[in-house]
Amino acid sequence: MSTAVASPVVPQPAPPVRMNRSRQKLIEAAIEWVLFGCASLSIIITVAIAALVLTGTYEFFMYQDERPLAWGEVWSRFVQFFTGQHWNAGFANAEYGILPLLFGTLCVALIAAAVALPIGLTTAIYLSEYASPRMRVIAKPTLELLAGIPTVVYGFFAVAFLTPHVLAPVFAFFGMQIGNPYNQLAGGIVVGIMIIPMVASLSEDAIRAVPRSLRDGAIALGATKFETSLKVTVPAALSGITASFILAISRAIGETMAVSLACGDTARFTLNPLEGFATMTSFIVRIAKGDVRVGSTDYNSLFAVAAVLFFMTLCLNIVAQKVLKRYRMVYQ
Amino acid sequence: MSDRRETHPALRSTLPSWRAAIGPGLLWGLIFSVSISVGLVAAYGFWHVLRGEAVSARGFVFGAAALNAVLFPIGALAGIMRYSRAFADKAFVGLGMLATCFGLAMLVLFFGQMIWDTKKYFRYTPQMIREHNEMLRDRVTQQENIILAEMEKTKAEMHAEMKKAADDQERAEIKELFEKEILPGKLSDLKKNADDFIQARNAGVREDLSGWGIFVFFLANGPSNVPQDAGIFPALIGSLYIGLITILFAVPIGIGAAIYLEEYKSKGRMGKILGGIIQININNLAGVPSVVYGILGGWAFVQMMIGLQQYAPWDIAPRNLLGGGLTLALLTLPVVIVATQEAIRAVPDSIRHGAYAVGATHWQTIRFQVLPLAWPGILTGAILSLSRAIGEAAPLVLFGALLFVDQTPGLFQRFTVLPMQIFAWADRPAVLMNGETVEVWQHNAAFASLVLLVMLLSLNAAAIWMRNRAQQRLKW
Repeated sequence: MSTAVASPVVPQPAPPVRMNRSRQKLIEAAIEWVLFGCASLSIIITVAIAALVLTGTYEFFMYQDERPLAWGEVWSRFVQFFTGQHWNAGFANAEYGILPLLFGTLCVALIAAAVALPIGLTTAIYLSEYASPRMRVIAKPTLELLAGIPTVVYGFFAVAFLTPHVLAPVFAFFGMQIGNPYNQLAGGIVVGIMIIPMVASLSEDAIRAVPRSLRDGAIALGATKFETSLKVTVPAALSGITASFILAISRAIGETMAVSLACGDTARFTLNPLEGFATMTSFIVRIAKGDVRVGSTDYNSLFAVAAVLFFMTLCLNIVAQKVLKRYRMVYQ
Repeated sequence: MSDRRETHPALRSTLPSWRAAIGPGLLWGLIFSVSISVGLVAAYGFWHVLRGEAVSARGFVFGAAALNAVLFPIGALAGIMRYSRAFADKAFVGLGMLATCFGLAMLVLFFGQMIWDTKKYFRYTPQMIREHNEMLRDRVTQQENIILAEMEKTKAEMHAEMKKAADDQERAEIKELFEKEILPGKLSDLKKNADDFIQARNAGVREDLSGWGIFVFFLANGPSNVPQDAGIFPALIGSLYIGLITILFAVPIGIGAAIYLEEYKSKGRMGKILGGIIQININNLAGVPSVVYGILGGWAFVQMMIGLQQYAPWDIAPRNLLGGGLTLALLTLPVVIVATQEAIRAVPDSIRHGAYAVGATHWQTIRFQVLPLAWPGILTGAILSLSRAIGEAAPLVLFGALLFVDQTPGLFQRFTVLPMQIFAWADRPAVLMNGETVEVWQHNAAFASLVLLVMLLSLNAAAIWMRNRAQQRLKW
């Protein structure tokens, strides 16, 4: 193989074909079908995930510990699920209102976005417009290394360093209490650091795809370099940048291990980032690692939460793909 | 790069000085930070009032002050940049550099923190081992003392009984009774207890307190309920197995799927539609949260294993290593597919046309021309997917991998992996040691994280290096 890489201009000649045509055709067709099988596996995975999650959700709404619910009860559980302010699965008289979990996820995602979007976008602009080629060669792989760190290590970093040694002293200085070891702020910050590389590299690709003539025009009209970047290049790449933002936020919403380590798993109906409260993903982890009986309502609530999570991220991804497609069409 | 354009020198000399912008800029920043912080704190207070909770004026003031401390520098900078074009132009270079270095700094911080905690592991562990050794030895000594004391007591009893006895014959009987029955009975009971302690001592006492000895012990031992004896061996082996399973399943299937999508899907109308659907699907699959994959794996592969048990002569745990590995293989499939697609797309059409022109079939063209050229890119994708699989833990939580696993994992047994081990250790409570609370479990977690980080970062670095080399060498 390596010889082919070393001299790409002279490809290896194909070995002589000593088969009759019909057999060759058969093999070609067989290979195509095998490859098609590989590709269609992804469809099977998607369908299986959706089917499993929806089946569990159906059981969650229709049964109370294997006892079928009457329609009125189903309706009230449905209403409670989407509007209830209490989530205490696992306790007696459990209530299943997803708003606290949704707020937990939202809080982490907002903080993560506040950390990652400005830093990521600034990095992208700097790397594509300002940095010397040498700087870029060093900085891009380093950022990619940041993306390769396992999420559980981010969570450990939050719970062992960020909260007790950075956030707690800082907030104590201002006379404020912060949840130690669990708080949403630390979770949001580490998730933000985690998604910086994603924002930076996707946005940089988008910015670099902007044609040179646009920059030339702005410079010719007397704009400074900063004005050119901010008012011409970035708006021109806006769809790609938006797509990177959406994808990064979707990743933050689905983030699991870091969040369940940093934020804890107590469901509370609040948006205060100084407290630690459960997100959708950390609730799933709590149910999965606890000894909840399979088939009980508590267990099935996992599927309902996973369904909300799945469709939220799916919608975000579809929107991002749509936005990305638009920018590809404009400049290529 | 020819794409970059500098501010025109003529323009640069005519821009007004940035000093004039300091006043209005600072004012703008002040208005910005005060309005935002007061608004946020008021909203927060209002939220609490709505829920009927107490709010204090002190909290209001301090909260606003804290927010201001963060927001004012940002606002002031933005304000000056707003009022001075020259300053904005210069300042952004610094800002961009700062933002770029932020990632690097975080990486250094991560490693620094892990190394710092690992150092603490090496500081506290010998101390704890020593204490534990002492405890184990003391227990044996105490037991021996108890035995001796018990013997003395029994002998004293014997003498007392003998004194009470009427004649020599009775005395001899009592002596025989004690020496033949009571004493050996008591002795064996006590010995049994002592043997347990002696065994615990022989197994538990660790003589090697050197740093290297502790390091090897950590790598070669399983979980334990005392922090200094806990190691990562089963987790490490589990992670390696997971990596192997991913390579065996995800990489071939992913490459196959990518070849289909890049080289075959445009054949015929049906193929175009189907290929389009599959492409969209893969893009979306890449964004599905990993924990959701756990639900799929936790059902599909567990059912598969339960079904398999009927035909297999050996024991199969329903939630075993193979199932976990396959779950992660599914998770990493999109990574492999997307990377391979990019690599194949980068091979220019002229190569394909050349191959067709000398009579190669479609598959021969792919096999002998396209794939060899795309190989570095494909390998990069494979390594990235491997590192993702080794670092991922969320799907395995639904696989019950969190439990105490104290065996060398086999393909069909319960298992744990390194990230799960870290997760289990990371938020255990601190231990009181000589009057100070020490986060001993966290030191274990830090050490395990360091091992994992070194593994993953070397994999990632290899992938990135390979891709850069391929980019430099492959130019058409």
